[in-house]
Amino acid sequence: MKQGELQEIFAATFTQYSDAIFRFCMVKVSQVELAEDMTQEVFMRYWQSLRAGKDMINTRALLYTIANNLAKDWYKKKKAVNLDDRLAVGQVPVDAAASPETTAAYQEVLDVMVEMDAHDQEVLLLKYVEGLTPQLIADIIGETANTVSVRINRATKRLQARLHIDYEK
Amino acid sequence: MKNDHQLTEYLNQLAAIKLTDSARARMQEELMDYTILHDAPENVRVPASGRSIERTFIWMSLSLSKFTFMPYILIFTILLGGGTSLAAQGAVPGDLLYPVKTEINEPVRSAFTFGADAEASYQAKLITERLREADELEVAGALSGAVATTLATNLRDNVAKASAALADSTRVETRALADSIVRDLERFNLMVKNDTLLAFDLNTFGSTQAAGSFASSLATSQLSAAELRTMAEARLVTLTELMTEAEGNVSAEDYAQFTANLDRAATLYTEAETKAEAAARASYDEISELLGSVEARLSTLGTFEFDADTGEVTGIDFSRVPAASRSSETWGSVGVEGAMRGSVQSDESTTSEPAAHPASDSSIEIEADTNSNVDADGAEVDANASGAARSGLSL
Repeated sequence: MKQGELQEIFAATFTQYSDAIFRFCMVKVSQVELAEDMTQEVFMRYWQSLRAGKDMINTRALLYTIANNLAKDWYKKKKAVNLDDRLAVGQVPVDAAASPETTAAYQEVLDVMVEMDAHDQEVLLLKYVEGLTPQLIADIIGETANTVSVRINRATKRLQARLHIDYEK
Repeated sequence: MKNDHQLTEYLNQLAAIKLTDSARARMQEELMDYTILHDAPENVRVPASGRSIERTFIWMSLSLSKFTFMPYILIFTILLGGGTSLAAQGAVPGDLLYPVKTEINEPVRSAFTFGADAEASYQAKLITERLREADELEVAGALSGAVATTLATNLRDNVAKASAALADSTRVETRALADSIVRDLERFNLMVKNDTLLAFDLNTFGSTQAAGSFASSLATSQLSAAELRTMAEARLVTLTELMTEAEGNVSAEDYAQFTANLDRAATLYTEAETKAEAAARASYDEISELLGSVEARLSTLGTFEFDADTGEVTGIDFSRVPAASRSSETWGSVGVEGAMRGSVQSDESTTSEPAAHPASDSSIEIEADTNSNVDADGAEVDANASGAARSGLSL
């Protein structure tokens, strides 16, 4: 039964990538409920691809691409991207295993990231958190590997500059 | 200025962002429904990587199936294409689509559960579903012969999986789950009129008592003697405190029985400290039954009050007698019969533990009800809501 086989693949993909996709969405939109909805939407579209018989050469790239497109749509809908809105986070995801220190730590990083340019955010996340190579990142965001490397470089410097400023406060 | 390594570490803190267990579980459930609703056409091309998946259980289970009408199912399903999977959900043994439900839909859903706890919960849900099927058949006067055998076989399979999962689980809540499974099985036994071939032998785990020990064994087999001791102590303390409230509010007879049980439990508790592992475990089992009987009886006489954050019992209100209580509830039954209302879950991660309330159709719709249970005052909730039945009072 093809349906069952596809469901198996789907289940495995969800288990493997749901957290990563959620993280990606969180960096994009900074709101838990919205990020959760987006994550779910990503997987629903992934299922549609599966049942359409799409060839899955790079599942991860596909998932991130979908997520990226959803985020772009969302940004377009939000007319004025108010910085305060973006900083107003909904209830922070409470990972029962995480200590308050851990939660505070990533919250702090999120706050800094949120102020950065969307392109910078995504390459920083994909490189430093998900550990992807420039080539893989390029596949996901639809640029060349060279562009990605340059972008990473600049984003890193900009982040360092921000942190430096923070430290001086 | 941070160097690259420090930067990596700094950004890596983002890796701690994860879906909460409850969000993840909810998503899996909804996504699973989505895949069933929008199921794939029969001629779909499965991605190449999919074929290397080892667990090709679907084909295996189809070929090992003992149902003689199975081949017709295959043809039927292929001809119908999509929609069969969803249509099969309402099937009962004897229906043409029943094997699609038990051999395909249910195992695939099981693939979404992770961890022993989720698997145990899921199997317990399936057991309740088997009971629902039995109800339907019984009403139609069809619970006999091959159909009944099919159902009993599937039920055995679910019980075996539940037992295995419970054995791997380490949570205290498994006790409540085990109890609810046992109640379902008792009800099934009654429905098949204790037919020796179909009925479940609730003594199978080697204890001389009936349901209580079976549940105990299911739930506690993996807990250490020290853990059992801690659990016993907590329950003993809670109940002893409740006795002061109970004194003026229950019959002399009940009170006498309570104190007798608690005294005996306390004695066993003291003695168990110096016993060897196996003997100690047996003592804790006995303590568990003694205390369980008290808890069960109390639950028919009043409504428990819980602390919203810890879930611990803080008292009992004898002025609110649960509607479903039967005052003729006999001693010795360990299960808490649907009377533990006022269950409070102050966080959102209420797992859908099946409350085996015989009168209600508590099969799959549990999620809808548990959301309405959250009441920080511990007030009694809607009588139709399926509250979490906890037979152990301390969590």
